[in-house]
Amino acid sequence: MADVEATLQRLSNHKGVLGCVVVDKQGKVLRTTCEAAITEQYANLIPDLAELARGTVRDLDPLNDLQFLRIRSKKTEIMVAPRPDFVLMAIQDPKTVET
Amino acid sequence: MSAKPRSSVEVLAAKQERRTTVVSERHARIQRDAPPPGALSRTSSRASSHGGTAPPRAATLVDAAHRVLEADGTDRTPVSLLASQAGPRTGQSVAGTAGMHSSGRSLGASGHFNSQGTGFASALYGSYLTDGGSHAADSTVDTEASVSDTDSLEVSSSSATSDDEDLIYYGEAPAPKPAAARKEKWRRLVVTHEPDEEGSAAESLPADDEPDNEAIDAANTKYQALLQAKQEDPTRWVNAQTQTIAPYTLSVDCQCLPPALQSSECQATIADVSESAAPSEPQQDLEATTAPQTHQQRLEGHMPMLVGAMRPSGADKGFGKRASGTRGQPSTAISRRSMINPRQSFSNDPRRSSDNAGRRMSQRTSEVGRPSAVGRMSRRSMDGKALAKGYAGKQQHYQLVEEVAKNTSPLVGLQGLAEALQLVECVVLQNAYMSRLLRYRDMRPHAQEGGARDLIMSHPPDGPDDVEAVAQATQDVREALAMEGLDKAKEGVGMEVLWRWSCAAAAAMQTQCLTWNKVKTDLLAVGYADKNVNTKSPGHVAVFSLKSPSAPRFDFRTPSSITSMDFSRQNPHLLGVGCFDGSIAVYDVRARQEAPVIVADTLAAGKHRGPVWQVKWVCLGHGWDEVLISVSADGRVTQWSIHKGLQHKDLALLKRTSARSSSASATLSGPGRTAAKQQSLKSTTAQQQQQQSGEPIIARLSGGTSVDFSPLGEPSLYLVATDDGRVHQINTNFADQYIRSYSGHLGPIYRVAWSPFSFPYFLTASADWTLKLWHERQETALLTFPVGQDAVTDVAWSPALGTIFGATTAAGTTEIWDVATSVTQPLCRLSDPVGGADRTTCLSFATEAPVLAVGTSSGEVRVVHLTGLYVDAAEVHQDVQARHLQAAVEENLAATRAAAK
Repeated sequence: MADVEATLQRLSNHKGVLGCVVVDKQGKVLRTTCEAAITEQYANLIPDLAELARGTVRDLDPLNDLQFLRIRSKKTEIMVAPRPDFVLMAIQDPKTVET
Repeated sequence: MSAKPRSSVEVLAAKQERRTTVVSERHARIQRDAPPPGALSRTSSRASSHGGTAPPRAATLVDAAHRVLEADGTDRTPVSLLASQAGPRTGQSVAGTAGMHSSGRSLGASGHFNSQGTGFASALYGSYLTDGGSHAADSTVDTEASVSDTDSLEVSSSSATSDDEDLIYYGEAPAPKPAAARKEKWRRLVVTHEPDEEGSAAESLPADDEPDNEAIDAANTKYQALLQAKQEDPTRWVNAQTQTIAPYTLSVDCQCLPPALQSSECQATIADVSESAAPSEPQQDLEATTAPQTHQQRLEGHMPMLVGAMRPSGADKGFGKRASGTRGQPSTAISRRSMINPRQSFSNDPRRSSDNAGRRMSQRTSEVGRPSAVGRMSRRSMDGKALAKGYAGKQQHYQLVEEVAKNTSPLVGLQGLAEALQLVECVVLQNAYMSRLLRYRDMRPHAQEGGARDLIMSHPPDGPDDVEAVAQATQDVREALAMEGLDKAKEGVGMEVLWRWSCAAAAAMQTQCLTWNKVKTDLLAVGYADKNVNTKSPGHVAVFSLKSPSAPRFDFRTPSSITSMDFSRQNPHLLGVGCFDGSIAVYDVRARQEAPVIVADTLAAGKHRGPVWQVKWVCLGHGWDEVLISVSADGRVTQWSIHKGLQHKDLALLKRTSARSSSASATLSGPGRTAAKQQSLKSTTAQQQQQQSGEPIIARLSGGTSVDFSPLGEPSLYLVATDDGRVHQINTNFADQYIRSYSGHLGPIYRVAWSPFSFPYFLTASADWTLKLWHERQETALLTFPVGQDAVTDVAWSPALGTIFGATTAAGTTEIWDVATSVTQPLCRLSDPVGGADRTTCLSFATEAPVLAVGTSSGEVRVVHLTGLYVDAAEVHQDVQARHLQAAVEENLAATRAAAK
């Protein structure tokens, strides 16, 4: 548990990472490292998209499952890891180069 | 009788005709016929006599309660229908059709006689028992007889006369028709009408080939016989009549609400269908079979862990102390305590029930951040026996769960969160390091991705002349590379730090050694030693990979500082580690455990008495298993095999040779070689030494600092470098003699390395600020490279180009030298711009990437990209490189000689 917290902290402290959000299956926000407004936006929109993607993957092959979803836009990249218990999202600005 | 079927139209027409006649006939018969007392009457007669007068009036379905009496008091009660329903149906039905026919007509229900056929038949037949069951047998017989008798309408009429007593008269009896006509009609009726079992409205006609014609004939014959019998013995026949009318039906409109419908939709994707068909195995953490749980539900599962056996009567301050512990990791602490004091909680209150929930309630939890509140709850539970009972206990159990739920992190119990976080972190880092990772793979990033980093081509600190020299060197290299047909020359030669790997846990340590994995060539293991290293100081091992350019994949602490490591080639997950205190350990990198797979850390197990300066996995023969060779400061070269535990065998003891004897042997060459060799061999024994040089009898061992086995030469031949500046060539089969000794260095040699392309050449790096290139046959160095102003800590050949090698110095510079280019100047040098306090301690070329890993004494590992110095593995031709090296060396030698002359 402690290393989960540590990893979460480290992840959100990376340069260019705008935040990290953990949402449970019902859509309730469990942990977040960004502001409430952004968190709410992402928590409302992203899990549905992940579910749609998962459905697509499984329609193509029922034995397959979605592991990771990356949405790269001009400004940000959203990384989504949908799991049975939760959905983990990280938002990053990929242009920021870490020294 | 004739059973000739006729067309349905004709039949119908005939039937219509008959109906009218039969009805009238029946009326007549009713009036005329009086059944004899006790005798059965026949349906036909009864029906026919009955029909005419009685149509509109309702007939009573007479039962025992009702008695029908005639005017003179005779009992004419028709017997209940049900009494003789067992009568022969076939006959009844056949004959009954006629009766049906007529009675149906009489009731005004024309065309439906079939449907009522059987019922009526039974009704008609059944009612003709005047004496109840006594005549049942007779009735059956008689009815059959009557059925077969078709020609006995006269009979029936005659018997009908005797049946008049039982008749119920309704009005005027019709005049009887002539018997013959009646008979004819009966026959036709019997013949042409087949009762349909189904009761369909339409007449069912016997087909031409229908087998039932015989049955009909038989039935008719029987009826004829019956009629005959009736005629003969009229006393046995009683005529009676009955009429059954269908009960009145009322048509009623009713309305009811439609059934409540609920429409629900369900969508099934291919995945759902396949899943339901074949339940997926509960495998990876991605496929969860549990329903999504709320935080509380998850905690329910963890409750026993969180609320373990506790000390019962501790004050709250005790809890406060414990509560300050990790909130999210209750299990280990609690379970340990529970093991210590499992029973103590009950001693205080023996009245408490042993109910599980109650027991939990009597204990206190420490992992909740608010122990006082919880303590209050559990104290309440101790007050009364009632509370310890199941229900209340459960109640408080749930309350406790809520309390805990409020206080622990909501991330507890989420399956797969750790892995998901790691994955996300890798991806995030990949994004951040994208351009550099591309450079690692020797790919130019796109211009719009933030631009390529500029080459750091650092100048040697000496001055502008050297700049030119370096430029010239660059030019030479370009030409050289162009000769080989490579296109990399235009980039120039350069070194560029891509990123720095550092391990947070080993931040205060120095990087002592590093080694790339032999199979997964992007995996780097780094060994850390304490800065003030001694036998007690701990060490650290970290494994880095390309997936996380900032933090190690995993790392662990070791009991002693690491001095050397090597990945095995045969078992790529095994990492052999030599420590400062002399112990050898083999770790399994896959298992990610802190404990080594096998370790030899006691003297009995063969532990070295000094730091193990180098370990190396070597395959000593074709098809043999790899063994771990270690060389240490106690002068032993030991071979460790991992078949059963870690078994060691000393390969050699490095006896200290005196300078004189070794130099004597060094100067000899040519035919006197063997003699010199023998002499040098002799000189290694203590006696000889004593004789020759007057040194003490006890042969001293010199500490070995480096060992190398050539991949090209004989597998049993190896080189050992010692800390007194000598290199010895030893054969594993002859462990007590040096085959050759090479001397020339003035200080301890830190590394010896065979050339991977050309067998006879090897390099040594020494503390006397020089690198030397040797030929295996010659005991003095061929070439000497003045590296700098400080000790050369490590040297390594490039795996791609035969004339290139890299060296690190204690001054913190990393240099790339090219034998073909220059013997006095490095091709390229990289110094740390930050500060000079860092020593670069070790380096290693990556085999499949143009990258160099350099370890520094500040605990970080620099990943340096080499431009222009890399050739794809497929393009490396060993012989070509060997020739280049040889040519280069000879050229240099010639130049040196020429210069000397």
